[in-house]
Amino acid sequence: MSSDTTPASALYIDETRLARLQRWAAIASASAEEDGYLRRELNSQLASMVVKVLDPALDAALAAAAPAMYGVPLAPRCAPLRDDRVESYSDADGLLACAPRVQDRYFVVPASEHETL
Amino acid sequence: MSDLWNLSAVELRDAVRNRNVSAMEALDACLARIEAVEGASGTLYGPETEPDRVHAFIAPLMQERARRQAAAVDAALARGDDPGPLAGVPFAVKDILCVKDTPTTAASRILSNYVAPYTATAVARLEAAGGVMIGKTNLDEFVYGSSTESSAYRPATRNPAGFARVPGGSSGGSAAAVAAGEVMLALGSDTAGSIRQPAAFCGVVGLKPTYGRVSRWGLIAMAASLDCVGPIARTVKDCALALQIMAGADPYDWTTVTDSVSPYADRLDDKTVSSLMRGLKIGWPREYFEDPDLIDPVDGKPILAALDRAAQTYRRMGAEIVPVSLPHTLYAIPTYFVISRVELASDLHRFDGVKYGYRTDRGVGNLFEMYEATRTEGFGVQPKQRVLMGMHVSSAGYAGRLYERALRLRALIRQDFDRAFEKVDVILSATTPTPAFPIGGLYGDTVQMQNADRLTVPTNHAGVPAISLPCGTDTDGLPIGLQLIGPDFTEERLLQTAYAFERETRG
Repeated sequence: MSSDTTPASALYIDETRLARLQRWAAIASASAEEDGYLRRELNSQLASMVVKVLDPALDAALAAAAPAMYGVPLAPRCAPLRDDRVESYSDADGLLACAPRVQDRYFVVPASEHETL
Repeated sequence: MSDLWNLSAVELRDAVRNRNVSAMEALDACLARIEAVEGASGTLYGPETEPDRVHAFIAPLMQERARRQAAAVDAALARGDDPGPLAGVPFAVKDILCVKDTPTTAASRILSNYVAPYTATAVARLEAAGGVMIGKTNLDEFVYGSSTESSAYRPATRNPAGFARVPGGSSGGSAAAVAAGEVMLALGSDTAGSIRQPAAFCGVVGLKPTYGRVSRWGLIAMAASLDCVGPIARTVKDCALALQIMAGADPYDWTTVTDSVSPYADRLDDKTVSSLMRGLKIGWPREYFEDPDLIDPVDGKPILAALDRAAQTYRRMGAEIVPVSLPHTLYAIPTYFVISRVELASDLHRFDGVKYGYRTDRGVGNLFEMYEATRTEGFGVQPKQRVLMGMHVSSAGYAGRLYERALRLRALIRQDFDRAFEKVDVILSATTPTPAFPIGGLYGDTVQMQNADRLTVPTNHAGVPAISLPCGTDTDGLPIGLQLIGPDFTEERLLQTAYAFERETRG
């Protein structure tokens, strides 16, 4: 693993970056006040906490450590994954009943953004 | 019979099985207690009222369902059948776990109309053991918080040990319900300390099992590599009983391990526990007591004094206190800020207004606008900031640097525990750096709020089990929590160590 060179300032979230993140997250700006709060808190987290993950003092130790997807070594203790199989579900109508809009047992959604060719 | 609510789960279970009391009488006693102390239960954007009530539940209580379950226990006993090891014990469930045919809200508007079509494995096992599910408890929205203040369901839950204080979070409703005597037992979930911190704040017992010990099926995920389901109760033995019922492999959760499950509660006999204490090696992690960034030497003075007394208690019982070091503890919260946000940003993409939950009423032109409007209106500000951070730190250019480094840091935190457990059987620390803070004291400051978990989150990274139990109060009478941490899948010894302290210190 190469040593990190990302400056903490490169993580900073300005208005443009916030708008891009909101677009990716499909969460729109609710108000200027909320955007201001979000930016302030996110930048506070980045500057005081997240940046510590980049601490160069960690480089040697991190290079010697493998990324851990879980703390507990699970593989030897878990049942092996079973083969995939298709099972019919007895309460499909119960699942459909959870949906905001259903027609003829299909979920109803607006059209995707598209261009008519 | 009116004080049945004050029994432990084990005591009540025995009384029901011996037919000294019926399950229906036990249920009625708890419902009467709820009537006396609960006040208004949480409703979506409800008013803040009754500052001298607990407000632990999300409305409505599941009274009819509970009555059917209590009647089934009584009918089984009348037939001479065994109703199970939790016969007639009323319990509550944090509203992040699905229970079939009941609202499951995650304390969020976006799930405010969701009725779960299935039941979480942990809940199903408690019900199959004769437990009586009485209602769903309040929490931080999608478990994002440490005070239960971010819930969209109001009034906010209050701490029965001091109504002006938070109950902790995110399982604040469960801890408050148990502490107030509304139920004997409640389920919580723990991603960074969300069972243990509210248990400490409210003066009850909370157990985070080893990752993989209890199924997460039916738990609405926050950070899937960290989430654990566990019990909150007023005694160690009640937590042990709940764990032995819930634990074990589940074909619906591949991360559950196939190791056999001990009869944890049955192993808490005085002779066994006294023998264990003689020669037990208890680790005293230097950083947790000496690093001012982890525990303030002035503000944390009552906590440090209580922990010192706890160590003396263990020494009196024959245990040896051994200094250990967990040098990467200070990196646990920064690491959590990265890993949890990346995982939850992925998890929360499923809430889009299509298959379940809230959908915007606004006229929208296309599918993306529907997603965006639904999520903007449905999520509160705390889920939003966490999703945005997850998108940010996992975006191109940062993912390798931040996320991969955080995963490697998790390995280093795990190594700290592995090395410590080469020398000791159990590690002792405070659960929290302060007692319960005032309502409104930290809310809104996301760094300070997350930092409240700095003594609990290392065990979530490592996956090891940990328990919080009361070890005294500060000068204001607020509870202080003692945290005990063990190696993987050593819940039996961890519970015995906790039980020994409880037996020695309770009047």
